[in-house]
Amino acid sequence: MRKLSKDFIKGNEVLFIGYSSRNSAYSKGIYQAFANHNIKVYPYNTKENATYDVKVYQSLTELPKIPENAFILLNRENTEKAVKQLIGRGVKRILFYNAKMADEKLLKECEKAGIETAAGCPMMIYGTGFHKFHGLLTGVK
Amino acid sequence: MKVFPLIRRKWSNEHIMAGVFFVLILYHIPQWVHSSFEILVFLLMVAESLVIDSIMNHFRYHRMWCCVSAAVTAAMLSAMTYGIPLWGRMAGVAAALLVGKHIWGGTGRNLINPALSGLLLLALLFDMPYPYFTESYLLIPAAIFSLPFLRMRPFAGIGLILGMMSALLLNGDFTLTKLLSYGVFFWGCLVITDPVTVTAHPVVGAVAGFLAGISSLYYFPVQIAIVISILTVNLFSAATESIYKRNTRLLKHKRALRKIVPYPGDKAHVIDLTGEKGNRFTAASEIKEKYINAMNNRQYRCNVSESKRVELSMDSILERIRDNDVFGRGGAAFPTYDKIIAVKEAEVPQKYLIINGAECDPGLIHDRWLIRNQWDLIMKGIVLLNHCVGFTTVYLAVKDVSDLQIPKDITVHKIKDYYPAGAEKILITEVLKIQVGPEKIPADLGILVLNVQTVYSLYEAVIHNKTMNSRFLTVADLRSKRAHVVKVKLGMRLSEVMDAVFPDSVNVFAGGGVMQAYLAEEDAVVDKRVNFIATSVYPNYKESPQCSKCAVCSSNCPVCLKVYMIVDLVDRGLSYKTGKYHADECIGCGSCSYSCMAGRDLAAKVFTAKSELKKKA
Ligand code: SF4
Ligand code: SF4
Repeated sequence: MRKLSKDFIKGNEVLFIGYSSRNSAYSKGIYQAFANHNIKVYPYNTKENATYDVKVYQSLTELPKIPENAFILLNRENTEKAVKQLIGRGVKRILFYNAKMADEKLLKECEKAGIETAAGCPMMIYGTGFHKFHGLLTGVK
Repeated sequence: MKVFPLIRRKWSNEHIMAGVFFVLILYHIPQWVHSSFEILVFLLMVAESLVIDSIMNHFRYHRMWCCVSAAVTAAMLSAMTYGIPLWGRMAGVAAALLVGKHIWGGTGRNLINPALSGLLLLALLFDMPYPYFTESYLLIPAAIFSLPFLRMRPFAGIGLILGMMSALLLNGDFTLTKLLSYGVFFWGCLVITDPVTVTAHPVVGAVAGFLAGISSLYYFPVQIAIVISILTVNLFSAATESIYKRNTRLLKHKRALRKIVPYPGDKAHVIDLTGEKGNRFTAASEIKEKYINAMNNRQYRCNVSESKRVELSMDSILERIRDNDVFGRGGAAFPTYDKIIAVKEAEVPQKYLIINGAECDPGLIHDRWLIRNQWDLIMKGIVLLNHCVGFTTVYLAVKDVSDLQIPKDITVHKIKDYYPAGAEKILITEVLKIQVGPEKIPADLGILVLNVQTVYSLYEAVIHNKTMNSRFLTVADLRSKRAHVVKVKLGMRLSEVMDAVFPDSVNVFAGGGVMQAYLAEEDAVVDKRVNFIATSVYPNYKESPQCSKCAVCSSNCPVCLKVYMIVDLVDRGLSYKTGKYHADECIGCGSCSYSCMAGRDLAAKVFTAKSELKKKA
């Protein structure tokens, strides 16, 4: 798994798995940062009865199309489930919020399925201010 | 649907605080020249304040927020406590932040100035320097740079300065060095202007400030006197603010928002996406060509008095307006028929028609385009209206009267360029100097306000018997600052419109204008209220919980609401109590969100309060 870099996300669409209503400010921040860089975000969360500011898809079948890029912001257990759902559905790149979310086995499965993986908070590339500075410190370019 | 301005002012509380901190550094220069050890003391005090404030903020908000206000408190204490042992000064900082600020609930909630509570403690424990500063001309830059901060609470600040100056005059001590060493500008511009703890009320502020100033230097010439005087002002201020439920500031901002997209000028062409003439998605300059001669020839074929020659009967005109669903094009989408009938039935001697061409929202261009390119048809609409109601005077309210050729019997009223000058009741006050109270509607007073495009569509509905299923709107790309006037069919998907004008746009917003926009969902369509479609970056509201009570939001509120008090109640889950602050009178203009110094989307919260009150009613 590589470190997040500017050229990791290709094209202009991303599936945001784990868009949260509980941590809405943070999720919204990431959503807006992508969108401000002309990347269309498809927020995704299977949780029912949650309220959001934006349209959040609850199942993959509901999506108008499955983008080639996915960003995952979930705990380790749910990450595994989400990745398994994505395999074979046209996703070519998965960005994990941090490296601890996916173990070796899961990464191998991705590799076998031809999915590139990377880890890092997208705010370090697409955000502003302190996030950018954080990216600079951690060598995200 | 969450509506918010797509633009936001760049200044924030943190910028102001950083400015105050810089000026406070200047107040240290004489100390630092005298002893360089004082620099270390200053740094230690500031570092301590930052640590305390970040820990407390972390406990309170579970995240980090800017701590510059704590650094300001420490710098104030450091400037005033020269000669006191280091441990005492450090204890003063801790007391100031814990007792003066965090015990009350953090930034914006304290009743008393934190630095003064620390100073009070130190004044009780130690001999404080008096006068407060050493007599030195090195304080001149600090005094000069203090002056801009008077703007935060000008009445209290000027009152205190005048009070202190009067005391110095009475004491026979009125010299420049005395003004500097007694810190007249320090107290008057930096301390008593703290918006959190001092009232914005002009009279109370000025009188309390003056009394504090004169009493502390004339009657009780010891350092603790000024501290106690200003603390008393703090308590008076709290009482005053709880009495007044509306903005009491004299300075009400009438903000001219910079036009975000330039007027396309002569090169303007309308893009017709209605497909009405079979040329879908082509730039249909034909609309312009067909009618532009009115502009070129400067000849208008009719004037208001021609209403006598209208062939249709009054009833058939009104029927067509009703049956063809003519609605308000300014954003409210109110049925025009109802408005006309209400004015027609009003039992008042004089009736007025105001054609609203203000277009005060900085993102809109289509009304200006219509006035300059479709005036002939708008004029015919006016004639029809006049035939139905019989107006005493017809006004055209516009910001820019250049290159306008309007018949003499229409009074062109040039309105001031500020937002929201085009809001109905505000416009009436501008044009007719009549205040329409919250409990009244303009029709009660015989006043009909119609948007330019409404009159245009009224003409189409009556003369061509056309159902109103299309409209002109502005489609903009706020990143490149370009915009087009576009004619669309109601019900078209917003993404379809955007793709035709600015292809591959990701963030699509729509609404009444730049100041009242919402994020358009994938399947959102052009409805009656959509005046504006744009692609833009997100405005980045940082939603800081640290309201400084600067009251900038209230000064910018066209209906003088105490926005920060309403929002505070909403944040505490007490929306149902916002009636006492008149939240129901909010017109949803978004000016408060635009101007908030804490970067908060206040209008959304006032909207929540208003909805809650409506439900309750
Ligand atoms: S809410 Fe009003 S008073 Fe509070 S920081 Fe924002 S503008 Fe200032
Ligand atoms: S409170 Fe309402 S009327 Fe006042 S500025 Fe905010 S949105 Fe406008």
